[in-house]
Amino acid sequence: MTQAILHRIASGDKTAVQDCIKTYGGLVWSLARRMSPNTDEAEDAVQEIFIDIWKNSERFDENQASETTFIAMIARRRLIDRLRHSNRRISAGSLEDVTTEPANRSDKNLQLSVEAKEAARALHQLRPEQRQVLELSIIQGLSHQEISDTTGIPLGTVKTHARRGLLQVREFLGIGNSNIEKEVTV
Amino acid sequence: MNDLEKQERLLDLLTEETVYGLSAENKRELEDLLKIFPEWKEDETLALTAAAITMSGFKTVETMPNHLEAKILANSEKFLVQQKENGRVTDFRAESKSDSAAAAETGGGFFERLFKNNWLGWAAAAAACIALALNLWLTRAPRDEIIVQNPPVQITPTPTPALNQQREQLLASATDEVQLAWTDFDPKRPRGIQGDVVWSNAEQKGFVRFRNLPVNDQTKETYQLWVFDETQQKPVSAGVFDATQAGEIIVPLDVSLRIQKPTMIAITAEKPGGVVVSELGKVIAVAKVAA
Repeated sequence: MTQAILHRIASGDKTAVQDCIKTYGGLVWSLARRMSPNTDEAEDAVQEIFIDIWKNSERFDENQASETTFIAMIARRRLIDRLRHSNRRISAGSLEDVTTEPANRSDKNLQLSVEAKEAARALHQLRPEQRQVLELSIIQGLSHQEISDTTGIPLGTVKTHARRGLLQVREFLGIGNSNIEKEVTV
Repeated sequence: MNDLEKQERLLDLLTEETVYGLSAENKRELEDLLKIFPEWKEDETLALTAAAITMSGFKTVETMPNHLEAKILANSEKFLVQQKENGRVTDFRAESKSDSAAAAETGGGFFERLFKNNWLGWAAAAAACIALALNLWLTRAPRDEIIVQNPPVQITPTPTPALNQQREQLLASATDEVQLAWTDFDPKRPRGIQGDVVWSNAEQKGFVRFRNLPVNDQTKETYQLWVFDETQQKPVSAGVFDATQAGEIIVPLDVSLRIQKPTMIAITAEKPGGVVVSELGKVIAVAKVAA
């Protein structure tokens, strides 16, 4: 089995750095474009994100989640951190997205498609109100208060839907199965 | 608060941290709760789940610009050299939980493991450090020359051009601008709104111009602009404004998302302050992009 790129980076393989940029650059760039107010900010964010990826490469655990999801997590964290520090909120857009250049049918897009479908399927397994809250918050970028105002669902109930929905999707995706003893029923 | 309530609150905060990040106050509360439930301290499963949900919105991904790729590669070289010199790595989770984007802590990692497991690593690193130091010494510029080459930059603030001038500048400078005329949304109820929209996708900038737009009662409603984008499920808000006088009004389009394939721009009347998602119940006028 091919060694994960992040493991190779963690073990000092410098060629893995270029492989990481080639394999995940598009994903990180797309996330940054969605969650940044303009292109300049997106470019700055991407540079910071890859530094975060190098720093955290040794923490990647393939038993918890795929490398793609791990990198997306690091990217989201940095982007949310940047937004909070700039006191801005950016809507993360809809469920649809398209390339601005011809689609690359390489393996990286195939892998992304498989994981994207799994998560989309997981969302559809949820109760409608839980799915709605997760889509409006994580994908559309609405605050819990805005979701409450828009949908008429009380704020406390919005938070409950978000919490339970996220835990359900986590279970469906099998993320962090090694921590199954931390199952919660709240 | 009993233990179950505390656990619920912990998960609420972890969910909020994952989706939005936390305020300083909520971070402190989370840190206190993590002392009670330490098994969650290093847990990243909710963040990983949120990342997977985010990716569910992607069909394919954009290609990163070449110049950005080159910058990242150059940064990675600098980073690896710096880490080698400092012998440090940063604990990213400690950074985000302490509300500091730039905190650095000593920790084990990449180079430490390399050095522990491979004495050649020590020798190579030592040689590289000496070579780097020598190179820096030999290629350094005289201090005076550096000062001369980098004089302080004088910034003279320039006044912001009026909106009509900005609109004219956009028309003159953009190569892909579209200029669309307003039309009545409901031909059976004509409002007589005149004017146009100018938009440049390349510059992500635009202006709307109105004539005959009624002055709105700001205590009851405000005008809001929307861009309909083929790649978005919902129209993208482009800002709110009030018509405080009759005659010609020019308003900049203030989009919150990158517009990729605009199909239409609309103006609606919404509650004061505007809305996040419009029900499109009171559409004043639309400007359609030719197919």
